[in-house]
Amino acid sequence: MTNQEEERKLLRDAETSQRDAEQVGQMRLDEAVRAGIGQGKKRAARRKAVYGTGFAAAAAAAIIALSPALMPGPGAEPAAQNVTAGAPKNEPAAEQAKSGYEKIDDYRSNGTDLKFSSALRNGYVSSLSESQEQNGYTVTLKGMAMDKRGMYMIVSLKNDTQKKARLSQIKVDFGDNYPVTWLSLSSSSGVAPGTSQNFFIENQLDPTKDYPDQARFNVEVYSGEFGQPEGQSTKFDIPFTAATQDLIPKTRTVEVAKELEVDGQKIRIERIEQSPLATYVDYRYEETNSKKIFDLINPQVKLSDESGSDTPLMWREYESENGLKTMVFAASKIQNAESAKLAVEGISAIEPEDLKLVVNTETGEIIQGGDSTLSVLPDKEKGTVTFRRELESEGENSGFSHPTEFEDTFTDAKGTVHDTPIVSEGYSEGSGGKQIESTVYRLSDPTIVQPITFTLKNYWAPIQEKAEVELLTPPFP
Amino acid sequence: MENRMDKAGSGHKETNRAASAEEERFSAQVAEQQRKLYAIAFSYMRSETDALEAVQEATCRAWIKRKKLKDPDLFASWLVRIVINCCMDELRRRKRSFPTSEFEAHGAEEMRSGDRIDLERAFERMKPKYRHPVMLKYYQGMTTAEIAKVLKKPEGTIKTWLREGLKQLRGLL
Repeated sequence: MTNQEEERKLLRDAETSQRDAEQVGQMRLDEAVRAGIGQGKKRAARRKAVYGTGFAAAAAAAIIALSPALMPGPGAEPAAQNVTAGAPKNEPAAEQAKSGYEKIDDYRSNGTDLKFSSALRNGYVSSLSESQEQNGYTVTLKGMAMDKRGMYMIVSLKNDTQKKARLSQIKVDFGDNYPVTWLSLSSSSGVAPGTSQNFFIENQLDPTKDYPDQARFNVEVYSGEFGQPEGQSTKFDIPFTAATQDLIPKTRTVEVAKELEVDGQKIRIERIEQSPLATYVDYRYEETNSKKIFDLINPQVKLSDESGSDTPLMWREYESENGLKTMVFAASKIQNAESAKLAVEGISAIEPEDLKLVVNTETGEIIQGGDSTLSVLPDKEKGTVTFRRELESEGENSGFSHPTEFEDTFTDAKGTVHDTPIVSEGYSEGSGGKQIESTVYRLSDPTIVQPITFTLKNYWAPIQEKAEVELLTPPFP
Repeated sequence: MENRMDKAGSGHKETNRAASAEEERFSAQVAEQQRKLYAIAFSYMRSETDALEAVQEATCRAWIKRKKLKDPDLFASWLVRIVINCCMDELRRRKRSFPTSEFEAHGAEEMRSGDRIDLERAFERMKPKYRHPVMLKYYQGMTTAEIAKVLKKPEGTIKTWLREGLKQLRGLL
């Protein structure tokens, strides 16, 4: 075969490839990119969310902003029903024609977040029509969906002023005893004069509360650049009736009370909850464990029934009181699973005696604790200390961040207790087959007497050992 | 639980705003490249779903590592490199997951031309360093200089790899 023949084959195939590649819908491409960013934020912040600053970090990590550049125009083609990157495939038949519910067709041009597009596509977003107008702004509540743990809202802003308008201080208020944590707003871009835009808002709820159906939506609208309001903002307080019970009949909660064991360490799975909006798994590490577990490695929930199986994507994880942790996965196409297996590829854990790390943060000397992958790099000019880990590359799993984090206080050589500063910077990079993890702290207090004793709160120490546990036991509820 | 939730609800707003602004910039940068990224991913994966997943994974990795990119002018080539790595990771993973015979049988179910099957097998056996320049040149129409930028190698090396790549291909087809 001559070179020309190879090249001809290549070019023919390339032409086919290009032609096929052009068929992809803009919206699906947009969704893939948005999902990638959301996934990146979760991977990067996951450990921080669980071990760093709890809910606050989880909230910060979950902001999903949609760039206007990513939003297809009004002529954008409809999203495919079944296959979307990162979205559950073969979702249940859409119920979007139901009256009283928002329809996906009305939002196709918005490039919705995957969670919202799934909820809309399946007819789970109840219509709202409350609206208020002030100072040239009209805020309209268009739809909502909530299960026991989360609430989605769709709100539009119409801007009849001469300046770009933005939303801030978003809050859904059910009353003092009913906490609502704002998690994300779909877009931080402004609404241009003379136009309107839909916003998708995600909130976290307390599953132990029965939320009343009367609620208020609070938001402030301001003009000016992002985070820099010009003049007074306009405050909206819009009462609405929330469809609190709408999805409850479609929600299944199963008390599991089983253990997953990895390296002799036990993880107690408390319950699994499947709702039309998400799949939740509550768990905790047993107090009797001989090691301190920092994390589960690549947890997955595999749901199946006679029609097939599904492994929904993991969205995020958070910790509530008493060490109870919750993994949030996407809603599954299999709503009444006959089997639900929780599988992990291992845990990240260390012996309790290794939790202490004694270092001189001025010289970088490690006096006690850590391992050969850890180095401490002071930067006197910047007043920072970098905790650098040189880890074996995780290959296909690379991209997961493994920050080195400490408990809220540390003790200096004189026994004085200081507050641990928050992580000022953290990054991960691949280099020569290694994964370099750097966590930077600002530590320049001259009253600190060296060396310092930290207690590890998060430290990547993988124990690769696959394990799984069946969460459901017949008869099924 | 309530206190922590309230804290999350009222605090960190400034952090969130800054994060959103950064995300907006990043989204816009990726948006400019997303068609190209998809086309490259598709040339490796030859399936819409797989290519979309590769774009998603590449965006995810790029987001995590974005602060390590010092020169913004290299953003596009950096992204291309990441998407290629994602595709290769996935292809390697599949090779590990499926015994060869099963993998081939699975592939044979699809409607593909003889050329396509031959090329796929040949690409699987080619050294990646030769495969990438060949794919970027013939499937994406990139110049040697552009490929050199993406693969971070001198142009001379790329020319050698292209030559060697075609030679290997000739032996494999």
